[in-house]
Amino acid sequence: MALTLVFSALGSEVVRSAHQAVGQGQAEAAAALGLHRGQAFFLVILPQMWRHAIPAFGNLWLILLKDTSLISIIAVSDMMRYANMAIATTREPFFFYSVLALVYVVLAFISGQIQSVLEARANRNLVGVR
Amino acid sequence: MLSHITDNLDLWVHGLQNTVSLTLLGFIFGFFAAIPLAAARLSKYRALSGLAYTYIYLVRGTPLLVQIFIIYYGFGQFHKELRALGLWWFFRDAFNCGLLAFTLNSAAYQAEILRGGILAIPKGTIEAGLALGLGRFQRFRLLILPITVARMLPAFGNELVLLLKASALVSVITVRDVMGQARYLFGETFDLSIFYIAAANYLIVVLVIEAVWRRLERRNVWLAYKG
Repeated sequence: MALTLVFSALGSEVVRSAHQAVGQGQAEAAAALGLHRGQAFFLVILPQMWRHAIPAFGNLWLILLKDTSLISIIAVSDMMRYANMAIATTREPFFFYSVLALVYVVLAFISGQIQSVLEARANRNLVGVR
Repeated sequence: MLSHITDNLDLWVHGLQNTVSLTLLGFIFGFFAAIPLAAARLSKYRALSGLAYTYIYLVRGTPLLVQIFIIYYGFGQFHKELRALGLWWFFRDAFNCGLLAFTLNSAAYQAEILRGGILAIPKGTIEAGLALGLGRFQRFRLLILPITVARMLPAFGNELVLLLKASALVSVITVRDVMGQARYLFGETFDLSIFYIAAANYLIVVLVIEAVWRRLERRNVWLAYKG
């Protein structure tokens, strides 16, 4: 619950800045082509917004991924909690917490790979820009 | 609700002291650890920069809570070896473990901030330093570092505020910071308003940090990065 609230607050900021980055001119151009507001948004603005929003969303996603470890404190069974249970029986905290850290790193790495694929896709129509 | 503050004023003051000292010390030690880390990250030797990058990736890719647990509970597993090395007094104390975790964590984040700032320094500045006959170390200490820090002040302020909020995590490993005191008082009274008091405590510290940072940023406005 708390994580959803935080994520949506931060996420709406990202969407807002991405919307601003696309620029007024694009909306006006769409209006000039005779598209109504909904069409203009989905056909013109949104595809361009992805380009700006994906890196920021990637950051948010990684922060959220790490914050999930916090909910183990209020007794939800995430990975952290299973690690604690394993430690309670084996008494090897160093090993299990290290494994846990490694799992988080692997997840972060996979997310990073997915993010770069998405970014490449969002930028596929840009040739020689920047 | 007010009686929770007035009755336990000493607890709250003690908690605030712990929180502030943990955050500030972690930030300062982290900064000094970040300088060589950023230098290594920018080194032309592939092995060195690869090593620094691996460290930064590992620290930034894992939750701070897990890092704190590895240091506090994980190292506690080797208490015999640590005793033999004469380091046990350090790792026995939860405050020290939290401080170590914060330093290591913040060093990685601050190194990335420094790296960005160093990369944004115009080549002309370094060439000017060369023309004045400054050595490598002098160029770094007198030119690159002050400009980087001045320009990256907003990012460092962010990091300090994030660290302050992350400092609430050490209450889990029995440190009596603001959150630790709140948890203790909540355990005694079962009154949720205690956590609002704790939140207000953090808010006040954040306001102080923001005021200090506004002054610092105004002083360095002539160096600010303008696109």
